[in-house]
Amino acid sequence: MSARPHRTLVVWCPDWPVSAAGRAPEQAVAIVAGQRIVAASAAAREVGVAPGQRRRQAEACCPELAVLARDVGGEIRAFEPVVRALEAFGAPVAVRRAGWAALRTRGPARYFGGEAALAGAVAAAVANALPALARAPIGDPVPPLLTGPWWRVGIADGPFAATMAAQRGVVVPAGRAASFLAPFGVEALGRPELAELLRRLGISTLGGLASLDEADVLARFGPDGARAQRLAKGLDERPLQGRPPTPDLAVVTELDPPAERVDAVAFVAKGLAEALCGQLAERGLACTLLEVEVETGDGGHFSRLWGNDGAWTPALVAERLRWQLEAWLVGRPSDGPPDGPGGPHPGEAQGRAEAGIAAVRLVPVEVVPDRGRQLKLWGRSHAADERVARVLARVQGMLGYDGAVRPVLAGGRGPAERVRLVPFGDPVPDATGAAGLPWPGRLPSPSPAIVPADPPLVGVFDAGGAEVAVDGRGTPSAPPASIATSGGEPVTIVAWAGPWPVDERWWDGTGHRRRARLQVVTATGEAYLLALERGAWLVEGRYD
Amino acid sequence: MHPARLVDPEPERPVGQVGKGRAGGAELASIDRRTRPLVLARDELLPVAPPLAELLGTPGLRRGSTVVLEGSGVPGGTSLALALLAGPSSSGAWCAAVGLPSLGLVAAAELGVALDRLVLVPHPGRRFAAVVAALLEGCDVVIARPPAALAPGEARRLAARARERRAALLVAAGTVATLPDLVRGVPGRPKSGEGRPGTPSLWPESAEVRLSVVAGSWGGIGRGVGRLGPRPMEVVATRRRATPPEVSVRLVLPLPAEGSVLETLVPPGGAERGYPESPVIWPVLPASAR
Repeated sequence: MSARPHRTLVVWCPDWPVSAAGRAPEQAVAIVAGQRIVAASAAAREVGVAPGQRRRQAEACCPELAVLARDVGGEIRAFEPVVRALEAFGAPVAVRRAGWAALRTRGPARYFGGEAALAGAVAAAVANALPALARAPIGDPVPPLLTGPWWRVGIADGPFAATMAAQRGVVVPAGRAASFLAPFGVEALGRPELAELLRRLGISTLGGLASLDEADVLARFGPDGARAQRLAKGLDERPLQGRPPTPDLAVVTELDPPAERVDAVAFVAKGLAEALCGQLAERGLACTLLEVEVETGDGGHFSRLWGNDGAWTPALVAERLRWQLEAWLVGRPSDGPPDGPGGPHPGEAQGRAEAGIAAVRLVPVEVVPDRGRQLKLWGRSHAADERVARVLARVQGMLGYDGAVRPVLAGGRGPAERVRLVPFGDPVPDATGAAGLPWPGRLPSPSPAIVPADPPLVGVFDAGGAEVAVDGRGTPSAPPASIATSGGEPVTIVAWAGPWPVDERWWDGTGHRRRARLQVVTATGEAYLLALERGAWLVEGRYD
Repeated sequence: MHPARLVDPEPERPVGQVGKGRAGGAELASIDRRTRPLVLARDELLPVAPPLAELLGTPGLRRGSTVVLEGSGVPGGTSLALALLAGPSSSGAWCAAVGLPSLGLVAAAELGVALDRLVLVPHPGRRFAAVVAALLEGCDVVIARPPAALAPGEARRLAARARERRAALLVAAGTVATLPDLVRGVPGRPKSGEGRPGTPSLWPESAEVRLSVVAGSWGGIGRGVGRLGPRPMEVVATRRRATPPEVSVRLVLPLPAEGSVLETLVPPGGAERGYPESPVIWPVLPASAR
């Protein structure tokens, strides 16, 4: 067989399902999947709860046991920061399951000046990665703290020995794996049936298994037994299937001296965009959201997001950058930032064009696998779509990415919540399903043609001048006779319908909303949709 | 730039003959260019519903024209504007709405606007003219509510841009667009600078067509009974090119299916139940009967 196993560092988080669920080891917690215990906290294990038990058995061992359902996705998500922290060490990180990650130490150990130093650095990085979990460590912290309340770091030859080293939180010197492993019981191999058989045959430790003749082991226990013996000898040659670190796709170019002219920057940007497009194409990726960041000579920043459904060409990127710069240069204080929430024109970037542009950075914020684009055979309507996209990109250059939006119908009851606005260029969410579902309590057509984003308050009064209230059964306290805004004269109501009460999301503490809607027609011939919520009447819409 | 057409003018074109060779997209496009007249008359019109066509004086909304929807103190202008967008957008033309942050988009969908062809620029701010000019280049219909301080020169330039780019410009001058307008609108008094006939319009330039809602009522609602139903209204159009120069058309929004007759919106015996005594209801005659 092959050469010595690679030196491997393992980060092992014991009882990861418990930690991922946000429980401390000192709490008695068990995680179940299909009525079987899959993991238990240290406190629970102390009183006899063990993985593999039935839930009822476990609860019999420990009556105060908190039993949680397993959330595999949540475990993996919670482990991701640890993996990210490990990726920062520059070596491919192998993750076999949530709670176990390994990397080869060869490069990083030399960088950190020794394996012990590397192990300490990794332990610190892991502890930092999940500050929420890193509570005060149990016991006294030793400077190169390789074991924490929920993590263990160890280094040895090969992943198996390294895992055992991690359980102890030690660094096993090269070539000493066999002697390190010898005192461990055969259960450590993770083969329960084989372990039971070995015990019955009087072989209770890994050292005992390792000392047997290889040919005899193969003859008696088969290939699996032979593999177990190699593990026991510290010869774990299973390669680590590492995940390469996520590539940084951002490209940046610095201009020295700072460029003063927009076209000069656009020219540079074109080369930069070519590099970016080449990088993306090499990886078979398409960028759907691109951030163009410009830095001025005096340290000002100006960045903007550009959406596209995946076909960025160098010319397109350069064009966007030119619009962005033009919009910014034109945005002199006299022209001012557009008022209103739709025009986030960064004020701090204004009037600083004199300093020139020192750096341009293109960051693909969102990338997806490039599946290509299917053009229509008769290209004309496609050409029109492209023209609209270009024009709107220009408008977005003037007003910001949120400046131009597309409406999408969504599910809901009120006229405002039935529409979602998506910035032009973003993929349109497929909400039509929810919009088509029945929404009991929704007012039928016609809907108000004017729906203010921030509904103004209005007073609704009965004939006696008292404010109209609506009781729990949806009955008004009195027929509404007039409405008035604050400071305005009251206007007589000539017709009204409703109120229609709606009790939405009563199961949700934060989203719960009760409204009663009322349609009124005033003596001046105007019709409004009013809504009563928490004792205040709002103008939800105007029929116009 | 030749305006690209969204409405395929020749759906019955013999595809097989062109596609026999290995004609690529560019070649097909060049054949397409060579084999048709420069500008088809029907390409110049964006489809609209018959009652609206009667208002405009043309069978459709003409590209390059400016249509102003004036405020008159009678609500209904917004629905009318949306109804004008319905035909073009559902036939594939791109529409953009500028400066209308409170547009009821559910109402738009109910009036027939294809929302996947509609783009909104809710807050153009001081860049109104620049935004509208840019949108006129790419969209087929732009509906915009101009700010109160739009200079006549800018309005003229925008109208010229629409003409040049073969896009229709709808000016929603009478729409209450923003929150303060709405609050002020509650007591039923339009702002001094707009609304009432005779006051200066938000659009200081001339337009091909000026529309204003002069009368309307609300059917289907009583005192505590029913609900708001279709809205009958009377619209007066002042046209520069069509004859007669001024027409008055009665229509009901949302536009009922062609040929259907709306007789009354008051149920039998409704007057006793609090419905308004004599709501103004006009029958919508089938197109053939006109």
